[in-house]
Amino acid sequence: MKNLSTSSIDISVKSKVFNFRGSISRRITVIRGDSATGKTSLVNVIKSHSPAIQIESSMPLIVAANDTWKSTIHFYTDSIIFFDDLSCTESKEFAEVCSEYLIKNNLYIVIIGRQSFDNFILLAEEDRNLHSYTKVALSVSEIYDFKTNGVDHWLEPAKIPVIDDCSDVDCVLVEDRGKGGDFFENYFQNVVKSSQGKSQIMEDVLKLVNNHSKILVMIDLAAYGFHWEKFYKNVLFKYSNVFILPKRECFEQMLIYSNMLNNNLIVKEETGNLLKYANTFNSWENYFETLIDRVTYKRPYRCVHSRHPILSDCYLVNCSECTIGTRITEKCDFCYKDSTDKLDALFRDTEFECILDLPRKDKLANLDTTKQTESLNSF
Amino acid sequence: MLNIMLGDFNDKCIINVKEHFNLFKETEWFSDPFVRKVIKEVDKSEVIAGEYIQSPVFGGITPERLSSGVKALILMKMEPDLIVYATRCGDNCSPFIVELAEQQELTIMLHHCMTFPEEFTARIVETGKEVHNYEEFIDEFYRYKREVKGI
Repeated sequence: MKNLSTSSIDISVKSKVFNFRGSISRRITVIRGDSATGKTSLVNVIKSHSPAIQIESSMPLIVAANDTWKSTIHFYTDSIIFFDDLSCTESKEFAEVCSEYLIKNNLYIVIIGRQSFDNFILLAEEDRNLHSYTKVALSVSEIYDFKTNGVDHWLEPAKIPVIDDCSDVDCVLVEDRGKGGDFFENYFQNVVKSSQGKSQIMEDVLKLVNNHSKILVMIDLAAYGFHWEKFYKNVLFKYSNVFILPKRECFEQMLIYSNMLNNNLIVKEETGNLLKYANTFNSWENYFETLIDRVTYKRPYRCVHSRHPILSDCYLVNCSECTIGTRITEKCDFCYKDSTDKLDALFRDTEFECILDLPRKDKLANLDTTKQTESLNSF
Repeated sequence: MLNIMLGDFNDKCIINVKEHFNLFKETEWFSDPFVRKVIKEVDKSEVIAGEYIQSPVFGGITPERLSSGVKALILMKMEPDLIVYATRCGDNCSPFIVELAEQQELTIMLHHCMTFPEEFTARIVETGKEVHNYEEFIDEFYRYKREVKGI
């Protein structure tokens, strides 16, 4: 299965005094970083249309202005639009227009700025109340620092403290109260489900951080970008015992990349070209939810995203304990039916293999659980 | 003293730092020691004479080609009555903001949680709270957003 990073639009700028190489993958990319690193120079170089500058990109690069940004988004199609320190990007109207036009006009926007994106957060609250995905999202993976050595310039991803050893995690905090929460609670010790999901997970971490030595937070990175600065400053900057599971877009994406589904022909086709398939949705989280719905249709391991989700036992118990019935199990195409460890069968040799080291409910653990239990009871 | 405004833009706020600087800069500004210092330390460039600046990358440049962060710092120094939108500045500008505020009364606007030096003093205009280090600033920044903006 192709790495996510191969699904991207590569941009290359070459001249005598300014070179840049970077890639964008999703509808919104945010570039920030120190002053005097060349961000505005990049935009000026793109704007110049000079024959002395070689620009390579599979889509036209457009530079927006504060007084014409709306018509730029309305009328351009199949383009990448740069917004360099424009105050319009902080308005509610900007967030609304992006949500309406980015997919419709097949646009990708690059916002060069350091603002907190409160406009997008407040707009997304409307989605939360309606349990819908009509508003465009920012992935944590699409927040970059702009770097330079003088002539060459490139993008570096935002710092994320990723976990390298899960075996000593004494608390797993899950953003998802539904299927994802049930999944982790089924297998692992010391699992806590976030009280209010994305907007409140930071507060949940802060309640736990002083009572645990190592916390793994399962954030849906696909749509957490607008909240990232707040989470980073209040949690990751202050506490060294909090870690994120890397590359986790959402729970459904974990299942898509599991051995249950990663050999499915549709999964292989679409995850090999996420730029084309996932960017037809405002959020890749929404995309993975619909993808798993499609590829598990009429399968014993059916997985549907809904307001009252129930996770199929196919993801929770060993196949030897399957109670669906022989007629169905004979048709089941999951390859690891003989395994006695469903979790291992799902994730061994996958992107998320590291979770197999988390303290399991079904295995002995050498942890002092008294303190954690009291903390979890009071949560 | 450093005064930090976290609320909405107002008439006194210079939001479009580049444009304001390019229109209103004055030649004598570039004789100021603080201005020369920030051009050297942030933009790695040197004021040679008047508005002629030597850049290690571009060669001879005019002030229009300085970074937005340096333009903001220069405006903070030379137009102290105006409120500069400091979200236009990278974190590498914050030590100079703190240094300037030790020499003169300075008010800036911020719409992001800028990284400041570990120990510094500032007053949050909307709440009146005085912060004495970076952690206190983080706490007050997000408390304001939570209680006033509901975010």
